Amino acid sequence: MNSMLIIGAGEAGVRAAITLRELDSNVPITIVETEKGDPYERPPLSKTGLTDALFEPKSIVTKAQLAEKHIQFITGVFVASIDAQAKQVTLSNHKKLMFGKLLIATGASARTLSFANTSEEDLEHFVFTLRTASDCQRIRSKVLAGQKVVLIGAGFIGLELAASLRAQQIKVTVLETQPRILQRAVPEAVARILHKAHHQNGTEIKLNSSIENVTFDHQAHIKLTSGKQIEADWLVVGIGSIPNVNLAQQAGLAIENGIKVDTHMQTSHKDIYAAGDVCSFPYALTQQRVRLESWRCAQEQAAIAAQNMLGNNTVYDLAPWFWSDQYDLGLQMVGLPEGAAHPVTRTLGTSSCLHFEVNDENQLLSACGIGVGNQIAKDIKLSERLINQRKTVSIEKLADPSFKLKDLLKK
Amino acid sequence: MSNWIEVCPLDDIDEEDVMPFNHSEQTFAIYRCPKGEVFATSGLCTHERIHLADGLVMDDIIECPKHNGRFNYKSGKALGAPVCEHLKTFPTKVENDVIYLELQNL
Repeated sequence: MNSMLIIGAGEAGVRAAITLRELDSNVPITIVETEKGDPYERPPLSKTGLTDALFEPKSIVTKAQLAEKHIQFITGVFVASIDAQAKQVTLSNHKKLMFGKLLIATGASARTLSFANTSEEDLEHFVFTLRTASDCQRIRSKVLAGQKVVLIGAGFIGLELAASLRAQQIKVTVLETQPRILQRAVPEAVARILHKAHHQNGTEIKLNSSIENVTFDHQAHIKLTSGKQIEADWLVVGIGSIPNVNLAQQAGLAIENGIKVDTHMQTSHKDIYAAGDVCSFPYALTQQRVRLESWRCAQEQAAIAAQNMLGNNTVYDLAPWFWSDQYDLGLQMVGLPEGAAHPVTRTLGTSSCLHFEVNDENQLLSACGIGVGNQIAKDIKLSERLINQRKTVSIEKLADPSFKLKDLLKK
Repeated sequence: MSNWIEVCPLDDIDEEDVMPFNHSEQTFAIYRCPKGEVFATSGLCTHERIHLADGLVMDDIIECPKHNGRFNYKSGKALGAPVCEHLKTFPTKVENDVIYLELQNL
């Protein structure tokens, strides 16, 4: 029995199914997904999802296309348990499915705050998170020009939402406990440009701000530990995500900040793989174990998992890539700065820069850039190649805007 | 009936690079391959309609600046997820170091 079973139809699950079919025209493939409807792309949900009046989630693939590829797509049910020994899962409708190989691509859930003494009704009315198309729909239905909204957390979700809601003439305050925005995610030079753009667009960002408590009547009243109080018509919590590891944990798989996989995307059980936001993996360049939430990583990891589920021996060794759009600025980053010894900033103007991290062997580890539109896209793509090809670079040349990164690649 | 449109001097585009060109409400991407020959495609990625001219040209491939959709700009062929729809290509010529693009009259 060599059937392929995939739990979750996000970027990872769908990409795995399509790759499996491309590589093997006969193997039975089944995807089980809790959400109904076509699999859809999540990145627009915090961007055009909130600014475009006619927005519809963009499908990754339609049900009809999956059917054409003979990929069985079961929706509206969830996997209740995995029996790793018997190689069988039980669905919420009590049906059982056998598998030869299993891919867990259950993604992550939005982390939220615990609101003490708050009714379900108030939570429903005032408090939002953003992860799914229905979360996006809930927020869309709430949006009214002139409202005051508080966004908790100056991470990517909070900041993208801020930009989108400003475009809807909403008064936005972002609360962040750290001393700057995107503290763990991007270098300071990039964060500074982005912070300025938020300021210029009228978003108020309060740093070093922790919440004491939140109470609700006709509004939300957010009391900060500083004593200051802020009123909001509603609020969105964007403080990171929690990998959906319950099924894997119950099945006895190793967990370490996500389902623990090796460079083959294989879990601690040889017939079970994981990919995307739900897994932690050893980053090939540094062996550091990381869990990433990245649209492209999810696809790349899924493609590797699919190859290995069919008996190949392929490792995931690519530099992760990520992007964000806020106002007219585009931010992109590639690689991970672990092991950085030499920070290098290339200034490209008042609202654009590239920041590189280089190790002691003069290898480029990561690059993060920001600029209007896709201004820095080419250089990030070139950086990606420099990182993946383990090229050594000159720090002076990286810092010099007149030097073409392409020439480093060709040397 | 065909119709040659003047684009720009050849020297305006580096070898192995791309430039945007707009004409009568259409946007195009004009490429010079590493050997210097000139090619043209429709200007927007078939995935999310991003301007390809901000992307990276390596050999015969243009990579979309946003989501890494890859196309062979000589044939227009989409080279895999997230792009599946090919790019339209257009004939080009270089005369007296000026690039021209051929559009079909409707």
